[in-house]
Amino acid sequence: MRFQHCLLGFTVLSLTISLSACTTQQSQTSSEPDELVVRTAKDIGDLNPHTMNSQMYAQDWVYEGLVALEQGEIVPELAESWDISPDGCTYTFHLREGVQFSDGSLFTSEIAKKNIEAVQQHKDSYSFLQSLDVIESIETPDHNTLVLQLSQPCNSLLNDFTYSRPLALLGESGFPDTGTPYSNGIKAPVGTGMWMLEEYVPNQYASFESNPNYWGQAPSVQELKALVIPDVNTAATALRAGEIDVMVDATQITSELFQQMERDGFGIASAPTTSVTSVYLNTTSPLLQDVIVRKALAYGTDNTEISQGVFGGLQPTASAYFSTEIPYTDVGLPSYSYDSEQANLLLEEAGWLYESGADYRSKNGTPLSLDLIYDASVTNDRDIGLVLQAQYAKIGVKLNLLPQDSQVYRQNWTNGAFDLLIYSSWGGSYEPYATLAAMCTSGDKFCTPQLGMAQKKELDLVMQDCLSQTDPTKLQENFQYIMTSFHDEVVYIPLTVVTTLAIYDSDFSAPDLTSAQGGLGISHMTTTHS
Amino acid sequence: MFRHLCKEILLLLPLLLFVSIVAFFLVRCLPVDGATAYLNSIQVPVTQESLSAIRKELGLDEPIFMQYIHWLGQILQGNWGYSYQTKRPVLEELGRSFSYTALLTMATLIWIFVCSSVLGITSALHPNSIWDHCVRFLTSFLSSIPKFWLGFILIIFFSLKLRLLPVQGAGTWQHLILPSFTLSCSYIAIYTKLLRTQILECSQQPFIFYAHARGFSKGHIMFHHILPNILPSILSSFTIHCGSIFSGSVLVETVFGWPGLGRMCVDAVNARNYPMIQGYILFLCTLFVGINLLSECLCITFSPQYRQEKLQ
Repeated sequence: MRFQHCLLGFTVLSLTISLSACTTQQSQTSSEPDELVVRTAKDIGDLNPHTMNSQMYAQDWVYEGLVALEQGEIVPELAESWDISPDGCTYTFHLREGVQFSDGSLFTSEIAKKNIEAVQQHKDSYSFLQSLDVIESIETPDHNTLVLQLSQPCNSLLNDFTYSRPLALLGESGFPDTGTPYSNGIKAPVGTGMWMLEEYVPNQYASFESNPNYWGQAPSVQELKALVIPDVNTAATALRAGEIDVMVDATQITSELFQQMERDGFGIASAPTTSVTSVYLNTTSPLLQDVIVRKALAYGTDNTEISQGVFGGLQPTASAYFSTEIPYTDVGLPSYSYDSEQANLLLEEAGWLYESGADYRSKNGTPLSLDLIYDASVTNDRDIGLVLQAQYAKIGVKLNLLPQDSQVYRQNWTNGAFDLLIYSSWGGSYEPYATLAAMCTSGDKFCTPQLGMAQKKELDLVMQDCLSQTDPTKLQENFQYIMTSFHDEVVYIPLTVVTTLAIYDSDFSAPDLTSAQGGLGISHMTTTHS
Repeated sequence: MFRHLCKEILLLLPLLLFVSIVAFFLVRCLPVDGATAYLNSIQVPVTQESLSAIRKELGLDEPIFMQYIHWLGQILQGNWGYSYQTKRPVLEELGRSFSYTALLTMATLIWIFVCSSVLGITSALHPNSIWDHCVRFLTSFLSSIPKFWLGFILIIFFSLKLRLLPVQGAGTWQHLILPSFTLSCSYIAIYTKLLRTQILECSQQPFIFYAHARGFSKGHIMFHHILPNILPSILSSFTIHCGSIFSGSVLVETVFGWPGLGRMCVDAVNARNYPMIQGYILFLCTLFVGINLLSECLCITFSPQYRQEKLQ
C-alpha cells in the first residue's frame, strides 16, 4: 500500500514537471536596457496585413501603407507624393525610392499592385472601403510609380490607404504560394515598418526587433516586447513591479488609476483622438419620434458632468458627432448646452406631464421611460449611463440601463431594438467617409438611428454624393446639410472626445501618442536607465 | 477490471455522440449568429453582401443539419475545424491552452492534496482542540474569500512588497505559484472540512474500535483502515471539482494573465467562434469522462470494499 501511495505521488509530480517542460519558457520578467516592454490587452494575432484579425497597432509596427494619417492630415508614407487628375479619376503615386522590406527585398510599384489586387479579390469583406469598388485598373509605368484608374471619383481613396489594414503592404516572400493572404494566410510577416517579428507565443507575448532596413528614423530601442495582460489592474501592478515599461489604452485605463499612478511617480501622457462618445437616439422609437422630446433630452444632458465625473476631466466635452479635427464637419453649429429648465419646458410642450405624486412624466397613461443599451464590456459606459440616469430623472424621464453582451448590443442596435445607446465613433481614417458610407447603407447599424428622420432619403443622397464629390464648395455644402440635419433632428447627443492614455516607467521618455508611425506612439521612447 | 473498463468505455461512445449534438446545436441557440459576430469582431460593417460572403467563407450557408454531418465527419477524421478568429486549427488552439490549464490544475491539485491532508488529518486527530478550532476558522475564511481579491492581495504581497514572484505570465515554475494557490484556496477549505468530517465519522465505526483493541498505532489505523475507507467518497467529490478547476479558472487566468482554457473559452463565446466553442465542449466532456474513469480505477485499486462492490 505504501508503494502505491508513493507511486501516486510520483505520477502527479512527474506529470506536473513534464507539462511544465512542455510549455514555452518566458525568458524574463523585467526588461533589458535596450528593450521596451509594452502591455497588450489581447493577443496581437497573426499579423496578416490583409485581414482584420490582428491588433491594429501591431500591424502598424510591421507594415506601412502608401500614406498615413497624422493629426487629421494625410501625410506621405511609402508614397512620397501623389497627383490627382482634375476629374478625380486618376491617382498617381510617386513611391519612395530605395525602400526595402524587412527581408531585404525592394519595395516597388509591382508589389504594391500585387497587394491591392489581392485585397480587391475579397472586396465584399471590406464593404467599408469605397475605393475597392471603383479601382478599375492599376498600372506600374516604372518601379516607383503606381497609377490607379478609377471608374468614378472617390473622396475616401487616400483615407482608405491610411488604414492599418487591409491596404498595408506585404513583401513578396510573405505571400502564400497559392491564393491570397486573406484566404490562405501569410508565410511570414514581411513589411517595411519599423519593427519585425522575432518571436511569437500566442496569448502570451510577441517580441519584435528593430527593422535594419527601415527607411525612416530607427526606433530608440532595439527590442520591443508586447506582453498579453488582459486585466488593466494587473497591468498596472506589473508596471509597478518593473515587468512592463508602458501601457497605452483609450478605454480600459480609468481616471482613478491614471491619477493614482501619476501620484506614485510614474510618467503619464494623454492625447485626444478623433473618436467621439455620443448617445444615439432611435428616431423610430415610439417615445422618441417626437423631435421635441429628443431636444429635451439634449438640453437635459450635462456632458461637462460626465467629462468630470466619469473621466476626471481627461476626456474633454464634445460638441458634435464628429470631432472638430475631421475635415468639413465643423460647420459652426451651436451645441445644446445643459439647461434643465428648457428641457422641462419642452417636455411640457410635448404633453409629457407629471401625474400627482409621480416621479416621472407620462402622457395618456404612458410613462416616459426609455431603455439605454450599452456594451457591458466597455469599462466606462455603465458610469456614463448612471450619470445620465440621474440627469434625466431631474427632468422626469426614467432611464432604464440595459448592459448587454457585445454581440447582442450590436444586433439590437442594427434592429432598432433600443431607445438610446452609447457608442464611441470609429475616429481616425474612418471619419468621415467610411462612417457616411455606413450611415447611408440600408441595413447597417449606423443607418438605423436615422430611419425616423423626415429628410432621411435626401440625407442619404447627400451622404452618397459626399463620397464622390470633387468640388470642395459643393462638398462643404453637403456637410453643412448633414451636420445641420443631425443637429436639428437631435439624432446624436455628443458627450466626450475619447482620449488615449499612457502610463509609463519614468525612466523612459514620454510616448508620442499623436504620431502616425510605429503604432501606439511608443517606438521612439528612450530610456535613461542602463 | 479490464473487462469492466472496456464496458465503461463502450458506454461512453453514445454519451459523446449526444454531447456532440448538444454542443453543435447549443452554440447555434446563442443570440447573434456566427457570421454576424465574426463581422462585428473584425470591425467590418454588417451588410447583406458582407454577411453572405462571410457565411460562404465559414461554411454557414449550408443547411444546419448538413453542417453538423460535415462537422462530425471531420471530427472523426481528426480535423476539429479552424478558429474563426485566429484561422489556426481548433485542436492546436485547444492543445496549447490545455497544456497551461493542465499545468495550473496539477499545481492546484498538489496544493489541495498537501494542505487539505495536513489540515484535515491533524484536526481530526485532535477534535475540539485549539488547533482544530484554528483550522475550522481558516477553512471558513478560505471558502468565503473572493478569488480575484485574494489574487490581487497575493500579488501585492509576494510580487510588489517581497519581489519574490512574478505578477503575471506563464512559462516558469515561479509563474505557477500564485495562480495555483489562489485557485486552490476554496478547495483546500472544502477538502479539509470533508476529510475531517469523514475521518471523525469513520473513527466511530466498530472496525476502528477493534483495530484499537488489537493494539495498532494511531498512524497505522489512519493510513491502513480509515483513509482507504473514505477514499471513494473523497475521490468522487474530487472528480467533480477537477472538472470545475479545468473549466472554471477564468477569473484567476485573467488576473494572472495565464493563457489557459478559461480565457480561450470566454473569448470564443464573445466572438461566437462556433468551431472553438464546439471543440471546447467536446474536449472538456471527454476530459471529464476520462477523469471519472481514472477516479474509478483509483478507487478500485485502493479501496477493497469498492472493488468488491464494482467488480461483482
